Amino acid sequence: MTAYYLKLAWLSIRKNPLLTSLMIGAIALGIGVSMTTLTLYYVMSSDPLPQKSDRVFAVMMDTWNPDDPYTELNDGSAPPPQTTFRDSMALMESDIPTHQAVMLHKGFAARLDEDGARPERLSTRATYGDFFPMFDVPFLYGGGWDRNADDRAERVVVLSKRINDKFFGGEDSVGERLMLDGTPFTVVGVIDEWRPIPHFYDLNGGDFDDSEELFVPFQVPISLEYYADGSTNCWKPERIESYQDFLQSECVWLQHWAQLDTDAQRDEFQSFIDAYALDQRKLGRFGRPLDNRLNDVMTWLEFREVVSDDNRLLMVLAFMFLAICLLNTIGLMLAKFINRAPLVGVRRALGASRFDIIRQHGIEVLIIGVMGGLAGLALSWVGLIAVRSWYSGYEYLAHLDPAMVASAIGLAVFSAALAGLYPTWRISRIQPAVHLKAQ
Amino acid sequence: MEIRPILSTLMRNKTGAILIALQIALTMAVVINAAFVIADRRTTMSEPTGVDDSNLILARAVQTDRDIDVRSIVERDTAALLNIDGVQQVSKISTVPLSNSGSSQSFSTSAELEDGSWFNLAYYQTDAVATETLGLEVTRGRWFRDDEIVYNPADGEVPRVKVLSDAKADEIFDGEDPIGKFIYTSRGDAIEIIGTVASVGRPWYGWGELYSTSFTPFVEINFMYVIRTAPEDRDRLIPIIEETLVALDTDRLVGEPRTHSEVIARTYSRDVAMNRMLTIVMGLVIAITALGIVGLASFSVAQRRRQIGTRRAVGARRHHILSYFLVENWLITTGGIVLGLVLSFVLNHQLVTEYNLPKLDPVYLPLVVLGLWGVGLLAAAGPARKATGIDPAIATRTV
Repeated sequence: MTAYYLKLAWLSIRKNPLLTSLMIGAIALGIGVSMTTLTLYYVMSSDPLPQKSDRVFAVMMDTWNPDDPYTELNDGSAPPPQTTFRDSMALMESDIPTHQAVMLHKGFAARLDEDGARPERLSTRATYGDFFPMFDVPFLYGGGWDRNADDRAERVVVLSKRINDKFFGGEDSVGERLMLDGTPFTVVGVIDEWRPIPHFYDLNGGDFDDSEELFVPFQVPISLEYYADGSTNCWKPERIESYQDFLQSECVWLQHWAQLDTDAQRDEFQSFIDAYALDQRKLGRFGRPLDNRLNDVMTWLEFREVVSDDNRLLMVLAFMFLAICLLNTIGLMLAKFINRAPLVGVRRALGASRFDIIRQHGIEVLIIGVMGGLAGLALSWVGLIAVRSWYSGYEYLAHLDPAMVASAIGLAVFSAALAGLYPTWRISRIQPAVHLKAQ
Repeated sequence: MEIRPILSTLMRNKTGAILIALQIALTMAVVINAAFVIADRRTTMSEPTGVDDSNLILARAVQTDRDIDVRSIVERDTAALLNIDGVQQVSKISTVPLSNSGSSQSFSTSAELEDGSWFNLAYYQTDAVATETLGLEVTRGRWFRDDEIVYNPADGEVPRVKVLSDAKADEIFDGEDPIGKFIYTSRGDAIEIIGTVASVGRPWYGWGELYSTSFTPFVEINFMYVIRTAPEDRDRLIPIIEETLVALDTDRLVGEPRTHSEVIARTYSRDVAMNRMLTIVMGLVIAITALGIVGLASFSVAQRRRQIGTRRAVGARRHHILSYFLVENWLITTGGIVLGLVLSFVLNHQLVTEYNLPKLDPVYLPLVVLGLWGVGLLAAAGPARKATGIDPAIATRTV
C-alpha cells in the first residue's frame, strides 16, 4: 500500500508542479537560512578543549580601580579579564595547580641564520612550558620546555607545523637555529596541526584567530623589555618611567591559565589567590570587594561573549523566518489538498478509511519535506560559503559537518510534518457526500 | 465598495486568511527590526574619520635593532618615499582612525591632580607635515613646528605641546579658547594646547568617545608611514612603496602597505556582513510572503469560480470582481499589520533587553506599513485579474 501511496504522491506532485515547487522552495529557504545561522552559532559556541575544558581555568583577579569597576563588559562588577605582571608572578609561585601558565602575544621578526632572506613577522606566544601539556598541544617533533628554561629565559622556540614546513622543509628541526629579532633561538619542538576554535586562551585579537606560529618562554620578551601586542589596560594614574615601573604597575595585559584537576585543588587555589589578595591589601592594593575568579573554559567563553549578540539576533530572526516559511507551506498545502477534496470524496465513498487518507497525504507531506530539506541543505552550503567570504577570520569555521547535515534534514522533515498536520487532518475530515453531490 | 459581505465571507473561511495575516505579522516584525539594525549600523559606519582616508596608504617598517638613530632613518625613508612619482606627502604616525589599535592617556585639567577632573585622550603621535598628509584643518591656534617634534629615544624627553580635536577641546574648556591652556599628565607634567583641528575620530571602533582625540609631536621607532596620493595613483603605488622601503634596508620588517580605506573596511567587516545577511533575510521574507499570498489568493479564486460566475451572471462588472478580491486581500493584510505592530514592539523590547539594541524608532513604521500594503496588493493583483476573466456561463452550466 505504501508503494501505491508513494506513486499517488508523486503523481500529485507532478500534477501541480508550480504549487509543489513553491512549497519545497519555502521549506528549503526556511531551512537554508536557519541552518546557516545555526551552524555559525554552533561553531562559535563549540568547546575548544573538549577533553578537559572543565578542568582548565582562566584566572581573574580584581585589581581594578576601587572607585570604578572594570567596565568593558556588560556586567559592570566583573574583574578585568587579564592580569598584572606582579600578581601573575606571585601566583606562579604556587604549586597547587597541576599546570599553570601566564602568557602574552607578540610579533617577532624571524629568519634563518644569515641566509640573506628578508625577516618575516611571525605571531608569537610567550608562555610557560606548562602551556603545552595544559592545552594538550600535539607535537610532531620534540616537545616543550621545562621550568628551568622558563626561569632562565632560555632562547628556545617551538614552531608551528606551517613554519617548520616553510623554514625546514617539514624535517625534524629540533636542535636547529632560528633568528628571532636578531638573536639565535634553538628549536626544541614542532607542533602538529593545532587550531582551537575559538582561540580561547587569548581573545584580544579575533575570537577565531589562528593559533600562533612560534612559542617562546614567557621571560624572553620580559628580559627584552617588550610590551605585548595585545591590549594593555591601566586604570591608575601612576608614574611609569621605566620598564620595571611598568611591570610593577596596575596595568593588566597578561593572560593567566591554570589546570586544577579536582574540586579540592580548585578550592585550595581559590583560597590561595584570595589570601594573596588580602595580603596585598596591606600594601594598598586590591581596593575593590574581593572578587577573584577561576572560570573554566566554557564559563570563560560565555563571560567574554564569544558568541556575539549579532549571532543571537540572527538566530532569532532566522527562526522567525522559518516560522513564516512554515505558515506559507501550511497555506499552500491546505490549498492543494482541499482542491483535491472531490477526489478524496470518491475514495472515501469507495471504502478508503480516514486513516488511509491520512497515510496517503502524510506520505506526500514527507516527500515534500525531504525534498525541501535536501534543497535547504544545498542553500545552507551556499549560505556558509557567503558567510566565510564576508567575515574575515571565519574561513576555518562555518563548515557543515555530518551532525549538522542530519539536523538539517531532520528539521526539514519535522517542519514539513508540522506544516502538513493541519491540512492532512482537514482533508481526512471531509464529508464524502458533499463532494460526490457536486460531481 | 461594500465591506460587510467580504468580511462575512472571510469569517466563513477563516483558515487561509489567518495564515496570511500571521505571515504578514511575522514578516513585519522581522522586517522592521532588521531594517532598524541595518540603519543603526549604517549610521555608525558613516561617522566621518576626520582624515582624508580614501587617499591614504599606510606602510609599516619595523626596525628590529634598537640602537639606531630614529631621526636619520625617518628622514631617509621619507625622502625616498617623497621621491616616488605620485606621492604627495609623507608622515610618520603611531596609528590612524579606525585601525583598531591605538593608545590613550589620562589627563587632568589641574596641576593639583586631586582637584582637576580627569579625562581620557586617544593620541596620534606624528610630525610637522601631518596636516597636509592627513588633510586636517587647523581651526584654532597652530600645528606643530619642525623643532617641536621629539624623536625617541634620541631626544629622551616627552613632548610638551598638544593639538586637540575641536569637539573635545570645547568640552574640556567649556567652550573657552583652549589655545595656551594647559592639561596635566598623571606625573604632573604640564602640556600646552597649541591648536585644535576639525574633529578626528578615535583609532578604535565602538569604545570610548568618538572625538576624544589628540595629536602629539612625537616620532618613535616602529611607527607607520602614512602616505598621501592622488586618488588615481593610490593602488598603483602600493607595490612601489613596499619595494622602496625594502630596498633601503633589507634587515627590517616591511609589512605589505594597505590603503586606509581597506583598513577601515576590515574594521567594519562584521557589520557589513551582518547588514548583508539581514538584507537577504529581509528580501527573502518579503518574497516568501508575497508568493504565499499569490498561492492562497489563486486557491481562493479557484474555489469560488462558481460564486464569481454567479455574481457576473446577475450583473456584477469585472471591476466589481477585481475590487472584491483586492479589498479582501487588503483587509487580511491590514489585520496582519495590526498584529505585526504589536509583535514588532514585543520583539524589539526583547532585543533591547537581551542584546543591547537601541529602541525601535517609530519613523520606520509608516514606511513598512505602506510597503506591506503594496506587496499584498501586488501579490493579489494577479489572481484577482484572473478572477475577472471567469465566464458567467460557468455559473449556469453546473448549477
